[in-house]
Amino acid sequence: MTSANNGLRIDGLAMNFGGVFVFDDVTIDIPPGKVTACIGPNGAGKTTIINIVCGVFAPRAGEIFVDGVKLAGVRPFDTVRHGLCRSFQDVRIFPFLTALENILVAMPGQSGENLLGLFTPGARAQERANREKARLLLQTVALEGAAGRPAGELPFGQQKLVSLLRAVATGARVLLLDEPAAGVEIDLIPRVVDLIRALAKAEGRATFLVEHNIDLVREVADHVCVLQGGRIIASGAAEHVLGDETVIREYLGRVYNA
Amino acid sequence: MLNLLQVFSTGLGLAGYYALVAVGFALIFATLRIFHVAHGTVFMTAGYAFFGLHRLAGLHIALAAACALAIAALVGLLIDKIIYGPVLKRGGGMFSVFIASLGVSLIFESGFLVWSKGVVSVARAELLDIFIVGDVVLRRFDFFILAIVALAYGALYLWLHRTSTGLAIRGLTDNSELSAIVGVEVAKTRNAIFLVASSLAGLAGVLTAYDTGMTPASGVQTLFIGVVAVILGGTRNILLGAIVGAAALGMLTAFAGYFFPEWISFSIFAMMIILIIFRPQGLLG
Repeated sequence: MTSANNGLRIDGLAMNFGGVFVFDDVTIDIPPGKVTACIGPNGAGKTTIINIVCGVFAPRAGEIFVDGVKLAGVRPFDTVRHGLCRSFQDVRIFPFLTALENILVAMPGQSGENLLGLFTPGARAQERANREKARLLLQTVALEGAAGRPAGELPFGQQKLVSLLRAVATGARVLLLDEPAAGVEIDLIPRVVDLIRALAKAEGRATFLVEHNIDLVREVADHVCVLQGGRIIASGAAEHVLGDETVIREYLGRVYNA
Repeated sequence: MLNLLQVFSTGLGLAGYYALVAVGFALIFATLRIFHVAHGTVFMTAGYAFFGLHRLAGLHIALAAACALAIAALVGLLIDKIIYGPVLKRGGGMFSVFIASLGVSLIFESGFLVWSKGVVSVARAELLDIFIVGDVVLRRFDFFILAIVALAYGALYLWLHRTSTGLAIRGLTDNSELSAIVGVEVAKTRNAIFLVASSLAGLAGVLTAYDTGMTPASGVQTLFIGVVAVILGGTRNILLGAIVGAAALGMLTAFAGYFFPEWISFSIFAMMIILIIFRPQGLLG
């Protein structure tokens, strides 16, 4: 079975952890060129959605499509092959590779596959182009100065940004970003916003964003869905959903009163 | 004092062999977490293949050496493909692979024992080519070994630090799970690791068969020395670790051999145990 939609489609997903109910009938369309955000309280199952898409957990019911093709048999380690890449809430990094290498390692179709590639001008040029691209990516979040430093030595927020850039560098058509701004220094957040926007708008990637920072969601998201109490309580254009009375009462209100 | 210099030069020659075996073992262990006991088998296979092709089949020495290297690379790759791969695929862990590897190495060892019944050696008169500096007798062949080690390490350095496969390998050393998540082609990288590591063991095997000769027990002996070198050097920085470990071990073997030759193995493994107790992460780790 296929779906005509492009991008990522999550269709009727239901999940339990043993006897613990997580959510039911979650359907979200994440079209290319748009940022679709999922908000909701802690424990609502937002990250679980990403984990199911990436094959970490098997859902009780539901299907996932990428560019209209049903996703089957994805395992966490081969998501990129299926055109998907995720970032993590916590930092996952190659601590002993430099920040630049952390990004380069994820770039597809690199040259220099073998030693001979070192001596062929075409391969060298490709290699330089990749390095340049990685450097530009670091520039987008003002990290070009950290390019040569081992990633493990960078502060938490910068490591987080490097791992976000690494997900971007895979070239995956579908990006699943799990709280990319959490732990990032406040003055760098506008850079994150710009980056996420550029990925969707300029590069046409389908971007699924799980985020607690409502200001960030307001700035980057085209569509928003709200996951609460095991179901999607609202979904649609960002300005509508974030202005929706139920959403404000059920979720946003709570955040601001906390 | 001059005698010590003599021992030192012997130690350098030995260190060269150890460095070639150790770096391949370290490469496989650090990236794939496989305790590749059969790495010694690959080393021995190259030596026997070299002997068979050159001495028995009469192939030109250079051609025989090249073929022996190719055979070693292939045997290493096939051990991974035919044995480790399926064991891991069926859910076997590091220990299952270790046992399987030990099995492979014992099978080869008995095979070579049946075939050769003793030492095979390709040694030729060139080995006697020496020169004397002061009171120290130096073998030209030791310099040849060191030159080959330097070339091999130079090429490895370029491979690891200037190519994308090298970057993928360093990524695997750093965080193997994440490497796969970000799209590193682990299977392809794995093949490259086994081919390169096995070629280096093969190089050491060919040189050993030419120099001191090969016995069916050489594989395991050499492997253990490689293992100790890796334990000494650690696996964080594969090249530096293997070379430092190999140099330390080469010197220890040479000096122990000079002062109390019956205690060579004792010294090597005592050093390993002391190090594991006090610096489990290796000298450099």
